[in-house]
Amino acid sequence: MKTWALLLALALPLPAQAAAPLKVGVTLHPYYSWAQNLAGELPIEVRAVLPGDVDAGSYQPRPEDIKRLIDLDVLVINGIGHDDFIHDMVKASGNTRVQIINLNEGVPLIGNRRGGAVNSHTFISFTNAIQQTYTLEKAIGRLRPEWAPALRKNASAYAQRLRAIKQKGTAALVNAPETRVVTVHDGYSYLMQELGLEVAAVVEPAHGLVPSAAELQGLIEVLKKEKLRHVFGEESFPKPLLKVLEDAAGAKVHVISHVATGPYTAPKFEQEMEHNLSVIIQALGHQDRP
Amino acid sequence: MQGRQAVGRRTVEARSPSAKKETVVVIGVAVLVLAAGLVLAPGPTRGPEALPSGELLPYQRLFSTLPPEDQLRYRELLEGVMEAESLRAESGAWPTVETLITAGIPPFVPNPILKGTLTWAQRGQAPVYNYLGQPNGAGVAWLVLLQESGDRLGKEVPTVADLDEQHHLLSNGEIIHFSVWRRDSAPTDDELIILPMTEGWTQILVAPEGPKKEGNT
Repeated sequence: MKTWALLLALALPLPAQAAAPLKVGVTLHPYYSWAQNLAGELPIEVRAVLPGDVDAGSYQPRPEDIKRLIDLDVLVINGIGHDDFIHDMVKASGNTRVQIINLNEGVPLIGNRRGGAVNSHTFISFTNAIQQTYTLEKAIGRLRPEWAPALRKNASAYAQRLRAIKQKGTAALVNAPETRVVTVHDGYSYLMQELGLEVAAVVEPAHGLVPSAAELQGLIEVLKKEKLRHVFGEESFPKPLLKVLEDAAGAKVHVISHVATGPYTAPKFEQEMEHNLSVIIQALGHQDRP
Repeated sequence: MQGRQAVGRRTVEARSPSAKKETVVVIGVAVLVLAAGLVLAPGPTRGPEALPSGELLPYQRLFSTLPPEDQLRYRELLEGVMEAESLRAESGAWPTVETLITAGIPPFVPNPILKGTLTWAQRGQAPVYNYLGQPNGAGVAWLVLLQESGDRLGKEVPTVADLDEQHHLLSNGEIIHFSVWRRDSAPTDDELIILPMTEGWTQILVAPEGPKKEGNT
């Protein structure tokens, strides 16, 4: 009887093909949030490739992370400098069928403040988040055409929420008395542009490099000369260095998020970008400054 | 055989140049190479180093060379066009400006931080459509030119690399020719714009047109 039941089960059409989750890997925290919001109730397993507590900028590939790539159907990458390690990891995983989606294909890229290559921090941006969520929607929709209407609906709903957050920021900053700011690294140019702000100087000589004493002194002179009073830093940046800027240049330091570490969650991008906006508005959006 | 030898044979003595002459030749060649390099080197309008190489036509300009305000306008235009393309794929018709404004889509909904406002109009008939943003007063005009190619991708799942910034794939499989144009002042008539480069418009490109990249990204 058991044998017959087993044979009957094997003979039946397999619903598993339709229900099989699409395994989508991501390299960065924002991509996890975007992919999860796009997925909604669809059978999409969004999988972070990197451990949550490591910034991609200082990441070294580990065997246990390479294992996460073995059975992926789709891999979502930055592709312009933030996750260059991923190609070797894919090769090492032996997964030759994974569809790689470079979210920055076709995205207008701003140059780095210090010249040279383009700014790869496209993910700290509302406009890019919306554009790249739609890029992902189209790519997954091609792989699973039956999901296209649901993907479209989810992408649209997410885009509307992101726009609503951004609009709060632009409305509050439209008459900001100061629009030139300093950031600890060059990661905020896209966001600042969307808010009508200019990144007038950057503390780090290159992403992840702490400035030397001479470089810090040069920055202090720039802050004084150009009357730049607001420095947007991060939790991870050495506080003594920021204190030097406060003490020597009279600058105020405000902590914002790079959306690059911590637990991977669907609302992370919205929450941290909303927090960033509230910090920026608090710093710049009031008229009662000298 | 003898005749051929008499006509064809010529003796030439090959000597190596002196060290002095050789130095002069090498320096001369180096100067020529340097001069050619200076003449042919990419100018400042070519944008950041990491952008792919390619050629710009006289009516084209790179996004990276635009002032920040125009860069933001262009970025918002791309966002808005993606929404318009989705609606076009769903309904078969390009959405009106009113529809896009009601849905809160930039740049049709004004951004308060951008100086100067635009009045948007949609016009056209298959296969060419315009979204035209005219400045209210002095200012820059913007144009999105959409051309329905009639092409559809086949059954094979395409990769993003199959397309480029001037060819967008709709979710229904249609391929749309897409371009964004900028003009220092508003156009003087209300005609549908089909060849913007003949009417003083400059096409904005993210990257110069060049050979497609390999791979499936």
